[in-house]
Amino acid sequence: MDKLPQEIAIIIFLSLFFLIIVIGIINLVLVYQKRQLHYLKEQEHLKIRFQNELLETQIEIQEQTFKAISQEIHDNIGQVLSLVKLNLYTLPPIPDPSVQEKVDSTKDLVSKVITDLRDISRSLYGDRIKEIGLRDAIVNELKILQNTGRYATSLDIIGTHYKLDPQKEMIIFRILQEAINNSIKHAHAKKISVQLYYGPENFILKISDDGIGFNAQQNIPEQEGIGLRSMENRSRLIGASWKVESSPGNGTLIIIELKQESEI
Amino acid sequence: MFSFITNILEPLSYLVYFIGIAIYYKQQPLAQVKVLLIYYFVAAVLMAYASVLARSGKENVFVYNYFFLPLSIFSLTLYFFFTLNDRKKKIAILFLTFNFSLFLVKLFFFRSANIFDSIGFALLSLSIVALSFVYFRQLLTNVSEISVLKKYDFWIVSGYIVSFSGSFIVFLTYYYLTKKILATYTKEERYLLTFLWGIPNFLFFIGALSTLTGILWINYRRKLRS
Repeated sequence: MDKLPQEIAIIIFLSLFFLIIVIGIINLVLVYQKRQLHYLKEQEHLKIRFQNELLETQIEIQEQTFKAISQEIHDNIGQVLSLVKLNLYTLPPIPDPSVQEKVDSTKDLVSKVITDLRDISRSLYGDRIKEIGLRDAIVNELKILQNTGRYATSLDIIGTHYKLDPQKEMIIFRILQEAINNSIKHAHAKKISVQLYYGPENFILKISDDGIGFNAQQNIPEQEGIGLRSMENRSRLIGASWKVESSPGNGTLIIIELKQESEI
Repeated sequence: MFSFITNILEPLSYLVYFIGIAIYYKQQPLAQVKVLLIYYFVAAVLMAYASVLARSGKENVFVYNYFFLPLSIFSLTLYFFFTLNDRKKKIAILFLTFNFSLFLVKLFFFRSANIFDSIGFALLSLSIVALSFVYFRQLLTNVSEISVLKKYDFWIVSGYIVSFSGSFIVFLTYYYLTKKILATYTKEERYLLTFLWGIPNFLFFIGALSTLTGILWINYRRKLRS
């Protein structure tokens, strides 16, 4: 009996000892998991940053290429064509009416080619887009399309116009070009409608067509969805949300929403 | 107060556990949660019965040795079996087979007098603590974006590891102490022994309370987010 209280005291002490150790282990688990979670988040953050930097570089390279092509069209091809036009206009009158008619027709064709090339050059030149702004760039782009005589276009502007960050405007314009390219090339659309919404808190761009459409719910194979993925990546880069709505036979609608506080 | 800790606290702990697990089951009706739900219901009934027996001065050790122990071995190991990854399931099966075989051997070959089965309960405690460590290792090797504090199982296993590790020495020595005082069995000795039994009860209550708090906290956070 004398020893019993002592033994019980030892048991209590040992139980407490185990308890403290176990509580310590639980705390260690919590701290370790927290650190691992922090590490994972940091890794994810770095991955996103790396992807964005890669995308920015790609866009930069693409812009440089566009700029070079645009300058080449303007300075070289454009100049040569202007010279051709000048030569045609300075030709002495031709007595044969049928030849004169051909020369006149060639003059018109050369004039049209010069105008079209100038439009293409302007459309490709990123600095000009930054200069004139997104709205006017879109107006010009739709005009070029309309001038081909093969497509009908419409532009709807809602809200009071304001300028976005020039870099963002250029990226949005490239997204629009990609969407139009998809509508013509893949959807075989005849009518393309664009809507610009200038809200106090957000800017929304909607591009819709009357093309064949596709199943937007299905995963698009990597090889076939390059254009869509490119639009999505560009939107992500400027912090905009990107959505595509489409179903077979019902055309396609692309919505890009940019919140005012989003920064590159 | 003393009577509350030694008699009432035990069935109350299982009732608290049952409530917590029922809330968890309502959120996620998984197999392991169903096992625990049934376990805590039966355990609460058994412990209430043992408590009634103890209060009326009757022997209640058989409730622990022949009903509660096999039920706990089976249910708690099964819970870990469902919770652990495929590769770690065999550890749970190993513990289940060992503890259950030992229980059957003792039941058929070493059926002793009505004395607490220290070895059986101590081994059960060791198994649960070991399985809890395996679970923690699994948590740390498969880090997800969700904090462990937002996982129901983390709270349940933490409750187990606290209560079973703290009770291990008490379980292990209870048989020896009972045997020792069996010859004299004075009032003081009985009091000391009952006091000692209060430790596992208290720890189980703490475990139950922390589990219920954790489950309610997770639910509260989820509701806030939705």
